[in-house]
Amino acid sequence: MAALTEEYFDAFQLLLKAPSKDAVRQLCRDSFSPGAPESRRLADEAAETLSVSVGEAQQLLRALHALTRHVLFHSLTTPEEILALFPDAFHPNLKNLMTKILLEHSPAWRNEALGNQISLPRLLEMDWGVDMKTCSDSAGRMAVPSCLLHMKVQDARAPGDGSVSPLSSVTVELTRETLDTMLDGLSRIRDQLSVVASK
Amino acid sequence: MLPLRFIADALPDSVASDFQNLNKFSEQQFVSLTDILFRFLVEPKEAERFLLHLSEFAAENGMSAGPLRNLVKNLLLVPQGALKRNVSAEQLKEELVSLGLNEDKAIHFSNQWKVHYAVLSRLAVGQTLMVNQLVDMEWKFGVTVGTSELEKAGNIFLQLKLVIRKGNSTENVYMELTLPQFYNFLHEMERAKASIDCFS
Repeated sequence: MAALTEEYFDAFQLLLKAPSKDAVRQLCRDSFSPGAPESRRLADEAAETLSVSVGEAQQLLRALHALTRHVLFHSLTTPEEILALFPDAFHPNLKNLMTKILLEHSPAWRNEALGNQISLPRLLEMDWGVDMKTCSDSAGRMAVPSCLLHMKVQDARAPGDGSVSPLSSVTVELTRETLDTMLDGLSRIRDQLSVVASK
Repeated sequence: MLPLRFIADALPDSVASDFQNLNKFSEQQFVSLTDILFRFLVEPKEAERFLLHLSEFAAENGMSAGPLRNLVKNLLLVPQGALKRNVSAEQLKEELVSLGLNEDKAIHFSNQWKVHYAVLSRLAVGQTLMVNQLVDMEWKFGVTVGTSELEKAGNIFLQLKLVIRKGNSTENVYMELTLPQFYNFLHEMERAKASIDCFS
């Protein structure tokens, strides 16, 4: 994680050239996403909005990306915590505006980070059905219920090239005993979860 | 001889001579042989023990083991065919008689079949095709303390490992559920259980 260096705060001064507060807001929002500092398109757009060179725009995006990520990582949720990041001589109005924007977006950014964290493949959907087996090649007549469970799972993180990660499908058959045992296990999880939640 | 109605396809042509041979057994010998046969049927994994009992029986009764094994192999097809076609004990007795087995032996055999019917049919049901059977489930849940993006996270995750039988081997499937997903999963499984219980 990039430390917030003096060069970054110098880069922020470029925001003073922004045509409106909304433009500043948009730049902050755009610079949050993972690929932002490298994005040529964003740099071109920022350069145009601020009437600066592409190189300067890139530096600004890098700085904003580091700042937004820093605020997210350390969970800075009060104005005082964010204001304290800026050097004393920093332009006060810009400092207040940036603080306000960062506070506004923090909850959404936090949820996005939580949603994207490393995990095993995620369960997307689940269906079940109960069938009755009435006969088979080994038993001429029977009445055995069985449960079929179908689940769709997806790898949590999309591969970097922009494609959607593959969905895989699992169909599982359960006997009545297996279903009972599974429910036992799930109930125990639920009990333990309520212990954790009540702490 | 009346044509077989229920277990015709299951039995080879040599069955008529097999049953003539069986008729030559004494009552005691037939009872012992039937006993050995059914003991194997209720524990089908004990093949070696079964062959051993047959060899002992052959030795004790002055028979050669080879022909006895062939005879018994055919005789085994009778209860299997009866299960497949859902034959009652009475029907089985009549079939055996029509095949040439004498009445006393047919009665004894069909009685033994009736006695062991529950176990045998449970075994047959157990062999019924199951697709991707769930054999085990392991789980863990915990709290995410932090990530590279969030120094302090604090959300709960639940991980499941399902062990699925595919043919002769097993496959593991791993997945993660959020809390709301877990509660939904539990709710759905309870509904499935209620549905399955309706059939009991």
